[in-house]
Amino acid sequence: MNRRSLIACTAAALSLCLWLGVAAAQQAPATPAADAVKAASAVAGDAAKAVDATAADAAKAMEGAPKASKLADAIAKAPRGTEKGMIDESKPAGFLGIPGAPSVNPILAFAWAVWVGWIFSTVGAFGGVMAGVGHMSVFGFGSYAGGLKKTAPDLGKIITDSIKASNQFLVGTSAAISSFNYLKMGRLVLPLAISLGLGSLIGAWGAQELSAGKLDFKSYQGYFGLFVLVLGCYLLYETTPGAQSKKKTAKEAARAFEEIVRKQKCGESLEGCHIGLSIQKFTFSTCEFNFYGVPFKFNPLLPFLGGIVISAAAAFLGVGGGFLLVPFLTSVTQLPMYLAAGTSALAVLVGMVTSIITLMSKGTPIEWTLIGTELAGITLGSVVGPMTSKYLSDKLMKRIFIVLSFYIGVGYLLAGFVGVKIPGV
Amino acid sequence: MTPFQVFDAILIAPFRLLPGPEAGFYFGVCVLALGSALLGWASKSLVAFAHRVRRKSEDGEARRRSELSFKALQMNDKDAYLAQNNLAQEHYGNSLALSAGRGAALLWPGMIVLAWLSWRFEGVGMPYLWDSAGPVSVFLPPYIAALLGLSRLNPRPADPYAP
Repeated sequence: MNRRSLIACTAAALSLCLWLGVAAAQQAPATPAADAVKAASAVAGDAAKAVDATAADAAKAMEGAPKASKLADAIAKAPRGTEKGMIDESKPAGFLGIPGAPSVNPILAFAWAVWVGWIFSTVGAFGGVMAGVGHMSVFGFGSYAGGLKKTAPDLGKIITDSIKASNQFLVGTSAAISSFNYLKMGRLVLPLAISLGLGSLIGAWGAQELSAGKLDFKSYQGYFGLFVLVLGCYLLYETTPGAQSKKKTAKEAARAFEEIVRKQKCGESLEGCHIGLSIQKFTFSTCEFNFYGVPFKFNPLLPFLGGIVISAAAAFLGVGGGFLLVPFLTSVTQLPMYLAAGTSALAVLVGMVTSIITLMSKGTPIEWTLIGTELAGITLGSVVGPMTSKYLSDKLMKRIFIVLSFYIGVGYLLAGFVGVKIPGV
Repeated sequence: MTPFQVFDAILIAPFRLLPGPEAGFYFGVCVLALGSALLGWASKSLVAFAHRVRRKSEDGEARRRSELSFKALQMNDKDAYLAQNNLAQEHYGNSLALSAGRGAALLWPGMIVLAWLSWRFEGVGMPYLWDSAGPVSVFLPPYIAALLGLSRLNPRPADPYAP
């Protein structure tokens, strides 16, 4: 199969899966806020009526009856009242159209997303953590969902799932854009992409099948906190003399090799030579390929299992997973980064799409307006980031984010598993 | 007229261009899909322009390290290969995080349109489709097709290693 056919088939398959998945998932529109709809119809005026009527005429089967949804059922089951953990119907509809739920000011959502985009474009993957913090703490969805744990557990779990899906939307954009770029360049080892992609699909699907509608917010917060804490520990470890010296040794080895190459004058550019990737053997237990004339060999079960574990963890936590997949591929399969990059980006995309579709198919509502606003904010933050980062030291930024990781990690861990709340989280 | 009413009036306009209700609906969705894909590409180009220096640095270094790792392979020096590969991976991680901005820029108009469609046609059955089909099912195919079509119009693939 040539490259063009591969790109076309992959793009078509992904698009078809996405569409079919969403179509299957869309059992019902997930906005039960009748009040909001009425208000909106009033705002839209004649044009709204005309088009609504047009569409309604065209769809005679619909009968105009509002369709039931998991969210509507959960709202109906929740106790009514003005106390915490109750649905206060006298209040306007907020997040997901739930009366009395926190209503996010679009300016706040946009501003927070600018900060997330700024981090993505300056510090790196920590932006994904900050996106989660926004949904859980800054916008107040977390404390609202947590307050429903005893009174309306089903509703709390649906909100938790929606938070997870929203996080994945924001962090998965990088995988979406990278996958198509790498597909265009044909930088994929097909057997590896198949085993890793299949593993990611199973992992993401399995994690959401097992956790969707079952995970209360406090537990999710605790696990998310644990993840952030581990990330903080890793960042801290990287600053220790031991890790620095290890890095220094590796850099020296790399520099020494660079020197040898320079002396031998064999530094022709990548475009000038044939990469020479050829698959020699592919069975269930062995994949052998030659790259630059050097034989590589790995067991396809390893990336398959790695894909399952990493994608399941990423889907469960509502994070991307790309930051784990590339190191996994380069260390376990010792695959060249040149090839691992594309394969891992595709696996992250497959995992993310599977995860979101599985959540939606289980009735998890998505607040598209919030996602759109946040993506617009990330766009602006990404433009501003490179303009401002030159004024900040990398070392200082790293230290700030280590402190933030520990604060958020410990805070979420305590709030989720112990019930102790520290200020700001 | 509030800003939202202006926004709503703009988005609803293409739905009223054709006389038939079904044709008008699908035509409107296709126009919005194409429009949001175009706006997304324009935003993505803006972000790519803002990132050009940083990308040049990160991708250039990742590319250089990759080339050196290939040299190491040719010279059968596995240790040097792993060291260079590891350094290339660090720069790739930074490059991947940068692409989040371009991805967000590409997709935000589509999500806003999706939000508007979901609100506007909430509870309305989609013509000729199954009962549970909603605006998302109708919007996604032309939107994805428009994004793919626009990507094919771009003569130069966005090579993450391009200097």
